[in-house]
Amino acid sequence: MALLFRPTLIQSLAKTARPMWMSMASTARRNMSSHNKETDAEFDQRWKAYFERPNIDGWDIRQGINHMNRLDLIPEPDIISACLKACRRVNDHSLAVRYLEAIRYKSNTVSNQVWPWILQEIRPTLSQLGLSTPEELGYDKPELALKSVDDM
Amino acid sequence: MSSLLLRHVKLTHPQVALMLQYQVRADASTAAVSNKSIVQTSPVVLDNRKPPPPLDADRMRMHPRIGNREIVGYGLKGKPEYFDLVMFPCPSIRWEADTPAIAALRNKEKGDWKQLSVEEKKQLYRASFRQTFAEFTASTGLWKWAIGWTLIALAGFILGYDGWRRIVYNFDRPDSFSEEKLKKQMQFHIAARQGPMRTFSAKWDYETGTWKK
Repeated sequence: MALLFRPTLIQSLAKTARPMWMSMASTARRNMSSHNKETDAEFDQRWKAYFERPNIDGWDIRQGINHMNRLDLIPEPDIISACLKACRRVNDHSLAVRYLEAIRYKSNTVSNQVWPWILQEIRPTLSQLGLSTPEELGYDKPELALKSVDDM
Repeated sequence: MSSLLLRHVKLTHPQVALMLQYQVRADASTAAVSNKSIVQTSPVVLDNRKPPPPLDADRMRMHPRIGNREIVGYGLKGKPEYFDLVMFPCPSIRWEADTPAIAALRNKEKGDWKQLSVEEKKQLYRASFRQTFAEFTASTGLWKWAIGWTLIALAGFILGYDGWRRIVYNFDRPDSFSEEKLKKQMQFHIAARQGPMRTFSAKWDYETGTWKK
């Protein structure tokens, strides 16, 4: 039994022993929670830096998009612009359009006023890159009706 | 030489089968240069007209499933599968393998995007993705089907239960439902002056002993 739970036992021992070690050591570290909450500004900065990495590849852009998409937020226009520029660097126009579509869908679930505002904010980037919005491509409404794979 | 070796391999392990499949595909693609007839031996391989990419472990594992489509990301579970999902906008592979037309477009995409026409951008999009967000989130109208069949099923159950209880609980009616007892009840109501405003006693003429006209 002791063999089975050895990792747990060692862990709990280490936990109980830590205050002893710390009192022995001269560096006074307070035994408080080690979680430090990331502020919104830091979050935005982190993700902007993620997409602004000069040698980012398509794989990482997709990972970033997929990851941000499942967070409970709509990214700031700065982050969106950074991601669009990253798409430009890896020469993938369709990926940029897909990202805009995802943002559009997500913001429209919140309110219809969000997406026009985002578009207005990222408009300089769009015109700089020559990127088409989903509306300009006609993707705001269903274009094709494809048969479901379950009906084939 | 490889075919000579493979001839002596017993097909027990799936990986060996895949290697054989790969060899067949390579042979077919090299044979295609001289004579045009290509026989697709395996139903799994989607496109054996092109020579296969260099063989490594990943390609041996995955490319028989996805053909020549490019693997571009991690996707949902790290598997090379295409999907259109709201929660994961970027699948791990492109929807289409690169045809010469699309390859030319991709070259053009490396230049200025302002030079791309809307039509070309749409082609590029459809090469990477199967459906747009608006398409795969469009309502299918299934709710009408569901509500309709639910109500029909409920009606069927209720009718069925009614028929069943008529057969099973086929008791006699209580004798208070008989004509004479109902008459006696009505007489009692009139004698007790019940319903003086608008029912029995209001309509009963107590002087003549008949119903009011």
